[in-house]
Parts: sequence; structure tokens; C-alpha cells
Amino acid sequence: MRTSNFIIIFLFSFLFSCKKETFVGPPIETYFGNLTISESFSHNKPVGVDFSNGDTLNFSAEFSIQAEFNINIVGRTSGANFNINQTSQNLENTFWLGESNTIFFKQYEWCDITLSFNGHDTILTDSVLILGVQDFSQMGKLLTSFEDPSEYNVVNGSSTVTNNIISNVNLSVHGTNFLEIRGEGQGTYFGATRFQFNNGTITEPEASNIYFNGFFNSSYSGSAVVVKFFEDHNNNNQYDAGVDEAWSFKQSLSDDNLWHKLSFNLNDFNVDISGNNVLVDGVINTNNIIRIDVICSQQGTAFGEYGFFADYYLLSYNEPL
Amino acid sequence: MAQFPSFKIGGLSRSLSTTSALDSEDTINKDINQELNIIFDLAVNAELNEKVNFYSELRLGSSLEVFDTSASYIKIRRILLFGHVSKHVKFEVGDIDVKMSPFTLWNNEEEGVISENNLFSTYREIQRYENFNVGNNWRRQGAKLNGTNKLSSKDSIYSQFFISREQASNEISIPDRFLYGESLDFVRPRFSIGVHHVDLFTFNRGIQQEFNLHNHVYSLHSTYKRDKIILSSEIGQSSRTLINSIINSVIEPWLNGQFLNLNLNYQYANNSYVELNYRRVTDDFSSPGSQTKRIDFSSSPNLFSTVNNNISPRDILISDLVNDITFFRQNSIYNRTIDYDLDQFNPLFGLTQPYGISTPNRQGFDLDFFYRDSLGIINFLVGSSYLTDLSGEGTENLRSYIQFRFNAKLSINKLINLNRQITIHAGLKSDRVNRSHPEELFVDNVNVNSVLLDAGTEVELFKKFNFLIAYKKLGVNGTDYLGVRNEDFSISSFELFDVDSKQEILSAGFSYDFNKKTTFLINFQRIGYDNMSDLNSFSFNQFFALLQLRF
Repeated sequence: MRTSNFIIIFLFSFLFSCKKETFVGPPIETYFGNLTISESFSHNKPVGVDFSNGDTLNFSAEFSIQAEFNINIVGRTSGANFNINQTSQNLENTFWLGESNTIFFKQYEWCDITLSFNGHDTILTDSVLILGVQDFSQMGKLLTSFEDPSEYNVVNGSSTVTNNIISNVNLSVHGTNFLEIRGEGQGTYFGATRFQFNNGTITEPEASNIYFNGFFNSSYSGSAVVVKFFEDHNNNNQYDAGVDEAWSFKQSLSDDNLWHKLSFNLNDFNVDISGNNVLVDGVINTNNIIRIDVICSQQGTAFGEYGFFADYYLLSYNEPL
Repeated sequence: MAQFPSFKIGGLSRSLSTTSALDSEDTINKDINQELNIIFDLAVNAELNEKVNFYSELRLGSSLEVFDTSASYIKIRRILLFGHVSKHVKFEVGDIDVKMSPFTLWNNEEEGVISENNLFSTYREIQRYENFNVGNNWRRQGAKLNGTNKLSSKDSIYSQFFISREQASNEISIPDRFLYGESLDFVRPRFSIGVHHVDLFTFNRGIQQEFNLHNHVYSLHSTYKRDKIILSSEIGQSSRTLINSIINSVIEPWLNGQFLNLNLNYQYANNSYVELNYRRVTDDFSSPGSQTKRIDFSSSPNLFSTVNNNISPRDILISDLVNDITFFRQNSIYNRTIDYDLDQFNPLFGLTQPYGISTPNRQGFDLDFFYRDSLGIINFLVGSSYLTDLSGEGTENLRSYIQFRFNAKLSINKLINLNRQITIHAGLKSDRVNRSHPEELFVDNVNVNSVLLDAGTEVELFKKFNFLIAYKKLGVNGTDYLGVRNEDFSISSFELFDVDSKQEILSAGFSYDFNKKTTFLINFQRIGYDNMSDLNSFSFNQFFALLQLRF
């Protein structure tokens, strides 16, 4: 056989040898075909779910296609909500641990659950009773939820008008109590909530892994919250201005009269060199933190009334609340 | 007397001023952008001794937005040592340019080019220069050997070997990644045959990873010439797998993909030809060196990355490929990383062959007819491709891809014997993708149409003073289901592509050639984008002033 003939036969045999017998990838209709519900939407806790015991609410349903779905859970009393967005042909791996988007769900609260699909009109509903809420304090160190006055100190300034606790289970984010703090003037200090503890109380060594979390609700335009961390460099269990180092972070607040969950990473805090405060080493030594002040402030220096409601201050490790 | 090396010095200088403004309805985000950059690239070619030469490009640059020296900088653009190892072997070390064939190692041209006049091509050349895209070469950092051996007066053997480090290990979790390749070609006046091999592999020494990924591509190519006919073929295979570096054995089956390419070229006149091409590329053909995209479509444009009052992030437009010029590599939308896995592509810019001729899962024919007259009055190319999927994606039915392309350049002045230059450029590329589905699937058929139009003219008003106008438009509408690939290169799901959009550039300006090496160009252009599917539309205006000097 001549070389050229061999090459031609080789090329033609290759020509017809590469094609696959079947199609590649999953069947297209399992992604973009007609949506039908083959197993109805339900969950595994018809009596109620106790998140405080570590319960998980597992959902179940099965569809004809790989659908992009959204499960929206809304608390009937609190108005808290949580969303789950996934793409799947079933709800086998879809569950709820009791977390929320903003404010917390409440104990003994009924929640409405809605399952909807992107690009389809189908909507399925269910409901669940919360028997116990999740304990988020396990995420780090709970500073206070304003239920126990021994957890914090109230610090008033010359412009403080109110720095009190309000008890109303329907209005609080967590438990019964929440803080109302308000002041009037052109300064930037209208009072604070102070937390004091010993060296080594904060166990997470990396500042970048620590978040200050809190819920704030303001109806006063221009209001702001300032969070300050105080270190004890000279180990005398108190903050000495000019010797120790302080860190602060300021966040303006919306005046929409709604609860907002705010989370600040410690890495975003700046050294506070106001007044007698000084820069010591420019590094947040988390082990040295002995005091935290959460201060009612304003965005600028205009005369006016500033303040907010606040609840559930938590230092979380590794991720924000 | 000491022997001093001999030097040659060359280079170029550019000053580019850009002012861009979003339309008047877009006011909340940054809606005005002004930049003024000047760069001076000094190229030094030094013959250090008989064997070794040295080439480098030194850049002096300044951003003239602020009038102090803090925005000035000096950096090395390229360093290359080159010379002869022996009489038959050349070497290059440093910033080398490498390419093989369109299926093994090939830097495919970016999208959106058909027939551009100087208003677009000038800026496109700057983009390519700034991003080291010289022809279809990949600029890598490594070493290269080229060998030439004359076997007889007619027969020669050419060989090439290169190696480059594509990624440096962080000594913790990211392994080193290397690319190497070799080729051997036997060339006779009428016949040639050769082999290529490229391997992209990880080298995990020193990090906590037991597996190394290898992606080999082998090919055998041959050419036969007779009179005005050239027949060429290339056939090959890709093989990728994970290898356990501790026990040095393959832990997953090799994923093998194949390709075949046959080409017939008939030169029926000087500089004019007809070309017929047949190709067949399997869905699992993985060739990082030829499938890596020149544009990083996962990045955001530098200019106005969000529009509609900060609501909509903006995808890369056809105008960005030409005009989103940055003199700082790290900000560029142009890609330089050769990696495993298929790069993201923008389906608006074409579905027929997003990864060039080596696009996986295609088979079919291309036919091109090129004509250039002896007086240089006209040249044009008319071509068409008819391709299909080689294997169905998600269904037994195959997509068909039909492309029609046309580009032409007409020199009116030569046609009517005028002293002043008048040139017309025109180009059109039309793509149609279709696939029908059985009714019982309840899945809409694939049906995508796109048209890319390129037109422009240059008129020499006075000696060396030209008026230029150019227009480019890309319109796309239809529905397709794009395969999403896993890390193992297989299609794991589909993404809906449903679009009805158009984007266009209208540009006009003047150029003045001080001499052959010094030109000045100013132009104004309006860029518009309309997406009727999600009612997203915006426009912006740009003004450019460009002074270029080569020496």
C-alpha cells in the first residue's frame, strides 16, 4: 500500500470515529421544560420546630425540571424573613436552621412559607410554628440583649435626653427589652452603653475574624452609632488614655423607623487619637480588649435631636451574624 | 582594546487623551472620565558578543491628570536574551513569543473585527501592543530553542522547544503551573510533515496537594503543494488527567478529545485564492493553548463599569475591545493567563466558534474566496461556514451554525485616478444558530441571529490631512442554552441565553501625518447599547486625541 493511501484511509477512519453515541450533558428538558410538581411542598415539622434544640426544618418537594426556586419565610408577628435561593430538581438538600435576613423570628410565632420559581407562575405555600428560637450567642460573645442589666453600664453625657430600657415583646428584636437612647445638641456624644470585662475575654486572636453585630432602629435624621474598643496595654485592667490604645468605627443610621442588622468587622476600625488617646502599636490585640462602648452620635455637628433603638449586641467570630 | 557591544535603539512614543461622558440621564454615578497619558517606550537591541544578544523595552510613562511627578513611572516592558547555542540552534530566554498551530498553541484574534479603517484599527493596534498580542503568538516568560538542520539542498528539519512558568506557587495551596511544548517538522519544497506536542501541567512540590493536572495536546500535520494547490491536514488528540504525584500513577481515566482539520487552498491569481476547510472537533477536545481567550470576559470594563445611575453593572462592549485602553496591565480586560477549563465568553460576540477553529464540539465546512487586484484598487473576502454540533448538547438534535462573512477595501482614488486618497472599508458578518426540539420537551427551539456590521471611509482633504468616519454595529437576538462545564470539562448544566440587543459605535475624526512615523488623530464617537430583553439601555460619548511617534 502506498503511503498516501494509508494516510487517506487513516484520516477517513478518524473522521467517523470520534462522534459520541448519545448527547452530552444532562437532558435539556430537565432545565428548561415544562414545570410540574411531582411531590407536593411540605416540611418535616408539622407540630413545630424548636431551633433552640438544634432542630432543622427540612423541606421536601420534587419538580419535573432543574428549577431556580425561592423559599420565602415570613414571621407573622415579628415580620422577620428569610430567603433560600437554589437551583435543583427537588428540595432534598434544602433546610432552615432558624436564621433570618434582618431581625429575629420569635418564639411561638407562626411563619408563612412560600415556594416560587423563577420564570414560572407556580406558587406553593405552607406554614410552621417556631417552638424555640436559635441561640446565636454560640457564634461568639453575646454582649447583651438588654434583658439582664448586669451585663452593661449606662453612660450618660451632658446632651443625653433618654438612655433607658423599653419592655415590649412585640417591638423588641430579641426577648422583651430593648434600648432607647436619644440626645439633643450639636455635639457627637449623646450617651453610651458600656461593656467591661477582663483581658482574654475575647478568645478569637484575629481581628479580621471578629464582627460587632447589633440591631438599630432610628427615626432621627443624621443619627449615627459609634462603636469603640479599648485595649489594656499596661495590664492594669483599665483603659488609660495616653497609655493604652482605643479603636472606633462610626456608622450612619437610616431614619426609616425600621430595624436594621449592622455588622462591623474589627479590621475596619481606626485608631482613635481624639482627646488624650494615642497610637500605641497600630495593631488590634484582641486579647487586650477590656471595654466596648456603643455610643449614640450624629453624622455631622449640626444642632438637632439624634437617637435610636437598639437590641442584641453580639461579637461573632469568623462570620457576621 | 576592549570590545564594546554594539547597540541599536528604537521605540515609540504615544500621548493619548480621552474624555468620556455618560448621557445626561445617567447622573448619580461617575459620569465623566478624563485621562491623559503619555508613554515613551525605548527599545534597546544589543549585540553583547558573537553568540548572545540582548533586547529590552523600557517604558517611561506619566499620567498627566495631576501636574506633579507622583504619577510618573518607569518599568520594563520586555527583556529578552537571544542568540545561538550552536550553528543550528537558536535560543531565547526571557519574554518569548510562542505559537504552534490553531489546535495546539494559538492566540486567537479578539472578537468584533471585520474590516476597520484607521479610526478603529489605530486603537486596536494600541490594545494589541499594550497587551503583547503579536499576531497569534502568546507572550510568555520562559525559554525557547529553535533548531534548523539542512539534510540536503532541498530537505530541512525544523525543531522547537519552549517552556514557560504560567503560575507561581504560593507554597501553601496553589501549585506551580508550567507550559512546555515541542515540535519537529520535516520540510521538502512540495511536502512537509511534522508533529506538535504541548503540555500544561501543575507541579505541586512543597504544597499540600497530592495531584498534578496534565493537559497534553498532540498533533500530526502535513502539507502538500502542487502548482497552485496547497493541501494541508492536521489531526490530533488532547489528553487530560490527574496524576497522583506520590505514587506517580493516573488516578482518573484520561479524558481524550480529538480533532481533524483538512484544508485545500487554490491560488488562482497573484494574491488571490479560494480556500475550502473541513474540521471536526470533539466535545472533549481540551487545548488550553489554543482555546484560551484573548479577552477576559469575566472582568469589568474600566470605563463606566456601572450604568443607569449605578443600577446596572455593564458587560464588556464591542467598543471596549477597541477603546478601553489602559497603560497599566493589571487593569486590562485583555487576558494573559493560559489556564485549564474553557474561559468565559460573551455569547453576544458569536456562538459559532467562540474559541476559534479549535472550539470543541463542531464539525463542518468553511469556504473563503479572496480577491486582490494587481493595481490595489480593491480587495475583498467573501466566505461562509456551515457547522454543526458534533454531539448533541442536552438533546440528540444538533445545532447548526451558518456564518456569512464579507469584507472589502476599495481605493476610490486609484479607481478614478485622483491624487488624494479616498478609501472605503466595509464588512459584514452574519451568524445564525438553530436547533429544533420535539414538542413533547416543552423547550423553546434554539434560534439566534447576529449581525456585525463594519463600515468606514477615509478622505484626504489636504495633503496628509484626512477626514475619517466609521460605524460599527452588533445586533443579536434569540434564545440558546449554553453548556456549563465542570472542572472535568464535561457539561453539567445549561445556562439560558435569551437576548435582543444591539450596540453600536459611530465615530468621526481627523488625522494628520507629519511624516511616515509621526501621526496625530482626533476623533469623537458615540457609543450606544440597547437591550430590549431587560430594558437596559445607555449611551456615552468619547473624545480622543492621539499623538504617535515611532523612531
